[in-house]
Amino acid sequence: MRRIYMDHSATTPVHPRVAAVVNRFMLSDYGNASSVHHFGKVAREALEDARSQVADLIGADSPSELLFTSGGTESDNLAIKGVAYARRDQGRHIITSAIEHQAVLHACDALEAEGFEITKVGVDGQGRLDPEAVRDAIRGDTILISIMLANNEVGTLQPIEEIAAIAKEYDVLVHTDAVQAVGQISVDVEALGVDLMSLSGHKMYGPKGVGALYVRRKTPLQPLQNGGHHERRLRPGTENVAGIAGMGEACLLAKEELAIRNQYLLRLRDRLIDGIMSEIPKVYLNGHPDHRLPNNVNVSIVGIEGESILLSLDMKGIAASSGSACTSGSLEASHCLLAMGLTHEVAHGSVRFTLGRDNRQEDVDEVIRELPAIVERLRAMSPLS
Amino acid sequence: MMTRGRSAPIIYLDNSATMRPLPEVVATVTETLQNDYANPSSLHEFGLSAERILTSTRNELAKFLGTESHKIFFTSGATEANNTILRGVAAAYSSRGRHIITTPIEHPSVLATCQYLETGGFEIDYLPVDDKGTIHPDDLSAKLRNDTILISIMAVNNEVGTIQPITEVALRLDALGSRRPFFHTDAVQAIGKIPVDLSRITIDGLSLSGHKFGAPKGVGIMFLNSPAALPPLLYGGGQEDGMRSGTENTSGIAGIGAAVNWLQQNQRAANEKMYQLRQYLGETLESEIPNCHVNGPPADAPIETVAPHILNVSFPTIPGEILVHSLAESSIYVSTGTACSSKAETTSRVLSAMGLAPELARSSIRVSFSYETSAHDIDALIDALNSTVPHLRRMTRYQQ
Ligand SMILES: Cc1ncc(COP(=O)(O)O)c(C=O)c1O
Ligand SMILES: Cc1ncc(COP(=O)(O)O)c(C=O)c1O
Repeated sequence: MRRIYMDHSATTPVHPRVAAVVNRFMLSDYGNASSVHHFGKVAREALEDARSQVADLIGADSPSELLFTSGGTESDNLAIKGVAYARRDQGRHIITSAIEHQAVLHACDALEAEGFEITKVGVDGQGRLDPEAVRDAIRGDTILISIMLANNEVGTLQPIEEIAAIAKEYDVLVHTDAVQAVGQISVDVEALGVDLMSLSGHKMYGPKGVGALYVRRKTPLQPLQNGGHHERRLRPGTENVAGIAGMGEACLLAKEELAIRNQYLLRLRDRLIDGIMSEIPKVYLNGHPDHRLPNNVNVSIVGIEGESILLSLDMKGIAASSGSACTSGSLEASHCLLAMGLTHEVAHGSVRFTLGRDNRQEDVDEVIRELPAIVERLRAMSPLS
Repeated sequence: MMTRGRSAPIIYLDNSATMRPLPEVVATVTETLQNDYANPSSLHEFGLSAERILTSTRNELAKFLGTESHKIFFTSGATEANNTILRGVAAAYSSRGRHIITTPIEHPSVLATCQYLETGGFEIDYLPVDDKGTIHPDDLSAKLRNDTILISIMAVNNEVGTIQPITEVALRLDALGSRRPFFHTDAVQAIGKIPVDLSRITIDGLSLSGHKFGAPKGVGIMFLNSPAALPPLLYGGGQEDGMRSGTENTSGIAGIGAAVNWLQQNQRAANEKMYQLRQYLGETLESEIPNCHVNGPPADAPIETVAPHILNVSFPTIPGEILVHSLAESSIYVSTGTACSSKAETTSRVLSAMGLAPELARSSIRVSFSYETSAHDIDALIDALNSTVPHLRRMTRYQQ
């Protein structure tokens, strides 16, 4: 069976160039970057090259503004808890949104249990935040605003630039979870004006288990962990040289092909959206029609469970998801879709197709061919319809 | 032994800093990166296949360590495992007490975390070590208090290879009944080098790091005997039973599985070989080079008292770094003390705690073996030291 992978927001295939780099740093340049000898030097250079490659992709002033972590989750936790602890003397109020990834939401919950106060700003029916609502939430003791750049479920892009400009007026730091955005759309930390930004390697054709946190110079940050002198003591632990070099290569690749990748995916995305909307009755596109990741298609198919559709698709060799991979193990409706005001029933019928550079037009056409029949069959069986 | 270009063959003897992943591991990691790239949390067949890698590695590892798979959690390394456990115990048990006992020879990821906890009102007590780097259970008994909540003692020291009496400590703690503090051991330098069997004694928490036993960097293991008792360090999607959120590093974890597989078949023979090389190296140096001292367990220490892969040796009057650089010119790579602190510190904290004279501490190097190290490699090191040491000593004498 030909397999079609359309779950790129859960994770992406590793690009062969990335795999080759990872392989090299396991097989021959395997040194510990802290060692003083030749092997250490080669490893250290690889780290610094990768740091420059990441910095270059996101327009950071200096590579020294990037810390390597174990992934998006750690970057989010480090940014939020790190700033909260470092600025706790100035205040204990943090603003976030209702549709953040669990890494942000649960890090905030943990801080709430320790006496911080969290305000979750809501979103509109298309998953967009109103910057003025953020302004209204700011208080004298607000120390941090954490709003994602692109949502992982519906792909809605947030007006981070405007939010950061508002935050600046009040001297509040801004973190953005850009895990889904980097490598998909052009992201520039200077243009955005954010102080901290989370990235994850495996969402951009790099390896799993490696991520980065952009920390603008002079941003106060307390480490989550103590240990050796690695990463300016802000993130101790022997550096995952192979993974980091792989992430650097993935950034280089993104930089090289971002413009074409973007256009290519947009074309596939719109073809898929148009196909689904015209072939299937009673479906809604979730998220924003324009402020949207170029690879995201999220639709609610009224009257059936997203999970049933996924299983049927899977039997046809098509990999998609309902909601985010992290929560797809649970049968709860997506917190993101509910925050957008969808009813439980509509939220339960959502399916997400996230495209990648390895998808072809024929893949899209196959989904458009298979999905209507699946929907018709499931609707005929469903007690809900 | 490998060759780089046309120059002298490279002899890498800094395996306690990091080890080259085993060939089987590299093959598995590469294969997983290319084919099993899906997110293990995904419901589709791709995802299920990735999840099977996690399950089978967890099961293999549990069997290898003599425990159950639900007590094993994958992390990004031992630093994260140490931090999660130490900070977690401090947070979860602080109502019972605020007294922590550790040793002065722990890795910085334990020591610095203890110092951090100290700033939060915890009291840290350090057990003394003898001239071999060993703690004594009687000293532990003497320091135990009603409000002791945590004991953290490494299984094998990373600079001198001393094995700590972990079993005896565990047995003494058992006698305390319900007052028993949480017992953590950093077993990073023990796994794959000495038997680690969790079925015979009660250890509450244990930390491991992949790249020290033939698996890749960036993946580690945390064992918890009562998993639900501690809060996690990283919050998010709830992976690893909620103890460690974040998309799992599937290829790294698959690499752990391949390393464990290899160890199950080869560990005993590989350890015996390393032990013999250690003894041969120590005894030859002490007999051939005047004023040369093996630090910590002696060259002829019985196999059950020393990790087979580490020999720490001093050549007084020659600063360790100078010798390290000089050997590197012959493409032989060793280190002074730990990689993690080699930039920050000039003399080893571990050797000082053992009461070594400053001159011995200053002139020490650490030679650490891998499963690939051969007698030829050791002979090349001995030859290089035989010619370098007298030469450097003449030079340092002129300087003085
Ligand atoms: C928006 C967002 N943030 C954070 C994460 C967490 O990243 P990682 O899985 O690399 O820890 C993800 C993906 O799971 C994500 O989609
Ligand atoms: C004894 C010991 N504990 C902990 C660590 C930390 O491991 P990692 O750097 O992989 O986090 C190391 C090695 O650096 C070590 O030797």
